[in-house]
Amino acid sequence: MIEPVGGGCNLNCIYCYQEPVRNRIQIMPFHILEKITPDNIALRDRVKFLWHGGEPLLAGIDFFKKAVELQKRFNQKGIKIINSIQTNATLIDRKLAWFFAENDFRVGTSLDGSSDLHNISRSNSFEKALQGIRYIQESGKDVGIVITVNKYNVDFPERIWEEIIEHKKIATSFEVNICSSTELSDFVPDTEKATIFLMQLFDLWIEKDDSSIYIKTFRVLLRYLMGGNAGDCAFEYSKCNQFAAIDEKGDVYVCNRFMKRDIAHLGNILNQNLRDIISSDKAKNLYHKIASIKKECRECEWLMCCGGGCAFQRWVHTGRFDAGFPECELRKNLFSYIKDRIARL
Amino acid sequence: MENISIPILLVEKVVAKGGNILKTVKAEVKQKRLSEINYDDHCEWHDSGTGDCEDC
Repeated sequence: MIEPVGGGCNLNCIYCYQEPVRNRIQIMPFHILEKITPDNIALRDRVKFLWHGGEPLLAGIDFFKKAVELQKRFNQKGIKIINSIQTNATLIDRKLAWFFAENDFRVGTSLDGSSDLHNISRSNSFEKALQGIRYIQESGKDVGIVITVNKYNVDFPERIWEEIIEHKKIATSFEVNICSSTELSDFVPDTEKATIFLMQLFDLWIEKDDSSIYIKTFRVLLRYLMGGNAGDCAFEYSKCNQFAAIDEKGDVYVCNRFMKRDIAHLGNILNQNLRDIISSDKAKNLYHKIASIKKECRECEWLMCCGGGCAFQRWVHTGRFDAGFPECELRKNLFSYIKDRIARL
Repeated sequence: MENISIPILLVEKVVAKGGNILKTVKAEVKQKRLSEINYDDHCEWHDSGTGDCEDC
């Protein structure tokens, strides 16, 4: 995961976990990109460059053109390289959309509901974001959409569902996240309300029974409850060691959610290569520490379905990795509900 | 784990009644079991909103 402008962003979303660094916009210099690219390509037979932020498109189209050029130059073994970008879509114009299409970038963005609900939480950006999505659609590609449930949209699952139906032709997937990781707790929805929201949305989805509407949040849970693998680190125990996140200065962290947090800093790519950084004793110790969950979680019947939750969310409220997961009750109730609901189909 | 899974007979019953979503997820689970994908290699959260995982 690479943050070309760190946590810098042109929006000011109410629940952003990058809050402490949001206003610092510094574009990653090319010499850092030139170091990251071969280091990442050398790691495996198939690698992903997930461009994240902040708002990665603040780096400009030339940055991404350079990134693709470097990937081609350093990919001497011809391994599979995947590019994904998570963007608020407000800076996507026709030129960028076609660039992404031509270079097979997967594009993910966020919509928190209809314009009024979205604009409250995401800096009045609905129209611009939708225009960006339309440019992507024009280029023949789809987007994935993240919906963040917060204090303002939690009472409106039917309206969120209507938006999902409205956008299903342009979105390959929808992911419904509960706003709970922020240090600005004013915007976190009430747990009971958030649980009811998810249950009602699940009902609407399962009753519609249209498998082309991919609500990832529910699909990963159903997949697990039907004997498969959830495939999502926020629902699986101890997956943090599968990732590394690099900021605009070349600093490497466990995950982008921990960006600029000293506790999760692993090293700098200008001093060591990426493989050495993520396999260092420091990294191993940290991964071990992050994987600690409390006794109640270890003994919980839902552990294999929940994984103890996202380590960042456990840590951010308490400074402890073995603290309780803020969405614990919500998840338990949701898992039970889904299981019972299927039995009633 | 066994006690929290949705019983396969229940899944079959819903699928037989035309349950499209369960039918799709059932096929997905089966396909994943049969394939040689190393699931540790990817994560859908980290795919963020960028769509489905490329292995699914």
